[in-house]
Amino acid sequence: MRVLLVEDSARLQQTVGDALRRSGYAVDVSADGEDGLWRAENNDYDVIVLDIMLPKMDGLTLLKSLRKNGKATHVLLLTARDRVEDRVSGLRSGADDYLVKPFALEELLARVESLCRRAYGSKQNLITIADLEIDTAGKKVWRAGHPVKLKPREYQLLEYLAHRSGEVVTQTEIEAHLYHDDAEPMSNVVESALSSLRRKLSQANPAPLIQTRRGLGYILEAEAP
Amino acid sequence: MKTIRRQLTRRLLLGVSVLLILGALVVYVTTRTALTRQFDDALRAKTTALASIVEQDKGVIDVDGTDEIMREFDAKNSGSFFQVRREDGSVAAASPSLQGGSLSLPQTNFDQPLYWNLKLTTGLAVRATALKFQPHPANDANQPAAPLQAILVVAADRHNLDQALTTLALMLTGSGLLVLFLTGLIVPMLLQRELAPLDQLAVQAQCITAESLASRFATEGLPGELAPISSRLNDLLQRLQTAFARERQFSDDLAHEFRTPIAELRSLAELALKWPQNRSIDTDRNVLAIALQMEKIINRLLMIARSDMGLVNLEGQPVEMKSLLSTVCRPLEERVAERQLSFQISFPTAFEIESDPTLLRAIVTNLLDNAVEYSQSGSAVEIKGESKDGNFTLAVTNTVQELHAGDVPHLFERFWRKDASRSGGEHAGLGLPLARAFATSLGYALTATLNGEARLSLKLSGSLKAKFCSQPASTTTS
Repeated sequence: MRVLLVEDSARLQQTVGDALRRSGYAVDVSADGEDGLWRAENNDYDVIVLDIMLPKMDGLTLLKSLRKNGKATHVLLLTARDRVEDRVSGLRSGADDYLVKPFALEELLARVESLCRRAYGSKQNLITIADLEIDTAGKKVWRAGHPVKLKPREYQLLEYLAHRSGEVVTQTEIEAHLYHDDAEPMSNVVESALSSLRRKLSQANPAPLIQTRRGLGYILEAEAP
Repeated sequence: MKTIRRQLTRRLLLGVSVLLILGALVVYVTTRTALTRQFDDALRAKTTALASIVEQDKGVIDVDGTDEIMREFDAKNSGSFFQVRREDGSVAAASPSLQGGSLSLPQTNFDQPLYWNLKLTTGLAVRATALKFQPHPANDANQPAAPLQAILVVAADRHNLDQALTTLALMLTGSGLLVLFLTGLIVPMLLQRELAPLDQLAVQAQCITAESLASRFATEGLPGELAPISSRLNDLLQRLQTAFARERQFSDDLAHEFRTPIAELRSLAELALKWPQNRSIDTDRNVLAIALQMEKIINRLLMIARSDMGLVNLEGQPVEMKSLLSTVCRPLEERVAERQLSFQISFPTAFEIESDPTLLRAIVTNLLDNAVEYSQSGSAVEIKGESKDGNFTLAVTNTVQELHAGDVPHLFERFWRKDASRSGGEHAGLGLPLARAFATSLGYALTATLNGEARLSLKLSGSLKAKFCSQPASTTTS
């Protein structure tokens, strides 16, 4: 999952960004509204965490521009404004959620996670595909009832493929969702992660779940009996 | 409780009563005078007519009883009486209606017509007049050698006159009381109706709370006396609304100023607790920096509040401005170099001000700090001091970016910052408000002007001599 954090406080950029990264998200950070809008328009984020009072362009103007340009990315407004009219104005500008500073880090992570689920049309924390179970809240995976230990990047890849289960996902899409802007993934890093993931998933049950479609991409689905 | 309505009712009733009493008295007295004069004229005419039939013959005075006039005096209950007296007062003749009674005379010479009231022995109240005259001789041919003088006293029953006057008095009293009663009924009703706008004003005023300060009193259709009151109340509401809005803005700004550092503190702590293995020394450094930043805001707010309340201790002493300026500039040198700024200082040869050195240094520090922070990189900061006619000015002028004329009035507002995002933790928008609060405490003026070349000038001006009262130091000012 890829998240854009638009926040002018350097300390919040650091702490919130760090917390999101440790929770398995690929995080890009913007310190002002103009840069935030540019990134939001030129990347495919799952969630944008957006401060309202920003230098150069305020968060609400950014949000309206984004919606006007047809971007439906889920947006969590993060602000020091706590009046009802501020919340209403924020939500009416196209925000999906609203969190007032100071906030609990856990709550922020839970809300980002909830918005990620909504991004893929899911309301549950548990994704089940054949004998594969993924707890998106606890970041845990089971295959045929056995726990599967995955590295953060492997988990992110599996969750992303699971969210788009039944669809062919291109390597470019995987890179866009799992790696932030500053990271430059090697050409084989996705393949390498996929290989490791396949190996770990096959330990409990050898039936392959992730298929390769030559020249197209990858698909996660239960093999037809 | 005293009310306008009660006061007006009471005073109107009192006024109407006095007017009614005076009016009734005038009517009664005028009518009585007119009726009495009419009665007296009739009595006088009767006396003159009767005198014409009184005769004297050889020393005897007599009345011609055959005359028509006598018929009025003959009847027992005719109500008309006369008596003819000789000069010595003895009765020469009397009307039968007197039935042996007498008409007493006042002690006078009767040169002028005289009327008086008296009561007959029968108890009848009459009004009488007297005429001193010389009866004509019974025989015109036989003129008496010594003609006699006689006094004719004529009286008439005054019962009808008294009754008419009594009736008049009763009518006047009755109608007066009726008018008073109706006044007592109508006046409160009229007052109720006419003072209704005042009641509406009171009801409206009662409904105004801190949340409804945007409401205004109606001024259309109000009586001329209430319209200006309504307008003044609206002016007051406007001022209150502005003051409340300023306080709310201040609270909002204050909340916002603290929300972000608290959010930073909380997220730092939660991050360290959630992933303790990744806790670094930077976490503690950041926590300390946030604490210092919040402490700075609190201290500045406290200083402004103390200064506004006049609780700042002031101690006047000579301050050499060049020396003060070099003290203030020293800590700024690094930032000045970093931003490639230059100070252009222009001071008189001797530039000394009698002032509180601590507060004056705080003012100059804030002015220079502001100039260094917001000057365009590579530009010059001009510091110009002047003293003339017992007054001084100290102007700090620098080139600013993105500041408009409309921003200048806000420069001294607490927490105001050009950048609405309030980014950056070093400045909270309290430096210039604090400088102005201190300047006011010292009796100085601190103003800001922006010229067309984007040069912002902050000017401190005041008297070279301290105009404040020195106070013994009991609390700290910094």
